[in-house]
Amino acid sequence: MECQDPITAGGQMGRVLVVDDVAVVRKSIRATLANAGYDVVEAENGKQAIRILQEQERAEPVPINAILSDLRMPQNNGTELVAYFRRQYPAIPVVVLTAYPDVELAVSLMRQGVMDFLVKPVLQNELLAVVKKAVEQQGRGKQQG
Amino acid sequence: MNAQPKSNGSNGRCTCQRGAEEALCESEERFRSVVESAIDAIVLADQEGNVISWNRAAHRLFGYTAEEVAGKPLTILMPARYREAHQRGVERMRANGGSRVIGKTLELHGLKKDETEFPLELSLGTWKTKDGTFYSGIIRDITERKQLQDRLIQAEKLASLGTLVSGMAHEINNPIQGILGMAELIVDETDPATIKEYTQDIIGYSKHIATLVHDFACYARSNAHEDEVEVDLCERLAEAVKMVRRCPHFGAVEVVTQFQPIPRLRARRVEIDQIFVNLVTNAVQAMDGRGRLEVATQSQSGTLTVRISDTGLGIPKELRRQIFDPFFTTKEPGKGTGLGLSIVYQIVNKYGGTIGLESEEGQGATFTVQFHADNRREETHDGVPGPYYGRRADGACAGSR
Ligand SMILES: Nc1ncnc2c1ncn2[C@@H]1O[C@H](COP(=O)(O)OP(=O)(O)OP(=O)(O)O)[C@@H](O)[C@H]1O
Ligand SMILES: [Mg+2]
Repeated sequence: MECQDPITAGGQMGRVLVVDDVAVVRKSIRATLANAGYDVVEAENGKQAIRILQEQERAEPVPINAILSDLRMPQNNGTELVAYFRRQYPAIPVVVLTAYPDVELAVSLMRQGVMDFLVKPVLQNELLAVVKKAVEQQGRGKQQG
Repeated sequence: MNAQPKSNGSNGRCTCQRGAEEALCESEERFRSVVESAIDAIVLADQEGNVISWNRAAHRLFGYTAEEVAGKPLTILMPARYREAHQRGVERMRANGGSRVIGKTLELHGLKKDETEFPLELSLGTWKTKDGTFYSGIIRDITERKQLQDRLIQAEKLASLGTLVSGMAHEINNPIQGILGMAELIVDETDPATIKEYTQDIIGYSKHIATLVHDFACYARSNAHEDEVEVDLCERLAEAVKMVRRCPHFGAVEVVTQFQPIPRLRARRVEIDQIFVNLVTNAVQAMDGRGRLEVATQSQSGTLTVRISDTGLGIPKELRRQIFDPFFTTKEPGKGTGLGLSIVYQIVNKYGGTIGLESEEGQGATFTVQFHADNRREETHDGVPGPYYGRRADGACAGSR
């Protein structure tokens, strides 16, 4: 039931880039989002995420509508990664999904323009609501810009 | 300042005449005034270990005047628990003229006239004349330094607790995210094969979490014992490797252990843990996810040796001295505080141990920590075993045996 190659699958709701180093997290989020009609692109780390974003830029037609990213990953500093997303792709809403509830960090990330800060474990409904909001926001942003 | 080893008068003044002898007297005089005005306490003793010279700083520090201590045994300046070892040392010196403490700086405790104890640093020297062997001791009060050290150690402990908690959150909340996600998916899933797959994931990750919590609990529990206990260095080293392994940056590092059964060391477990966790963390950080971490223990003629080697980027010669300084770090801001090795150094020193480093740039580094197996006998304060003596409180902990 999950699509192995999401880039070719036709999600009606939009396309979400999920960045997380833990396979089981990606697996369950992918299934949840796919069931709700989203396309999911996975990245294990920041490098992969950046490559995917760059490729998407070139491949015009279906852009990433939202990024759902963890903060703590082996090869990158997640905070820097999020700042990079905001700087390079200000039109794509970023939602942070992290395992550690750190209020100060949450506040500072929101200031940088992160749309929401979710702490694991997050319920399907919460996740879907936030992703929906993010994708909609991106749609609006595009119309304005 | 009386009772000089070679002085011609009890008032300490020279009563000499002219020429070379005069010059000698002058230099003796000069020497004496330097000793007198020194900030550190300077104490001279004869070969029986009786005080023959005592400067002003010694008076200030211990509370005894020069007259009060002249001819008295040095043992009145130390807590009872050191006296036997001291006596043995003096006898050993007299018998074969050698001692492992001469020329070294020791951290011990002193006893003031008013019977209060204080931490001190002692550099021992010895010299021989035709009248026999004499000892010199330069003594510095290190109460403040100790307090600062304790505060630093405490701060670092809190910092590593913070790292531990966030590590634990990461370790536990990720699989829980998976479990919750899978469970919610099952509710709406109709395909039996998918349901089965998700259920198996849930079982697997639940077991994984149970193991994690168990390990963390064991680690935290062992840290809670603040008193000195008989510490099994092999066990603590293995635990430290296990803790550091949980960090995401551990990557694909291969671990090789070579443990020999070694005597226990009397120490505070949390401090031994700090030594090992800091050294192993540094080693792993130096390898950036790839390489071999070797940890080994060994015991030989009363010396306990712990070796931690990595195949990481190594330490350039010009940095060898600095790396033990507080706040010296080559890591990017936010990655390291530079306190790790300075804390290691302080703790090792506190237990009378030594730390050595071998490294070739680009070829990795080996840190060697050594303790005297008998540190416990000399340091056992009251002869009563500590509350956890011999108790295998952690017998049930995974990995501790
Ligand atoms: N095994 C090692 N291999 C290479 N360099 C090392 C090793 N251990 C320590 N160093 C060097 O010594 C420096 C000081 O180490 P120290 O543990 O005191 O601080 P840190 O690791 O930088 O920060 P902290 O331990 O506070 O997180 C390091 O920044 C690093 O340059
Ligand atoms: Mg360090």
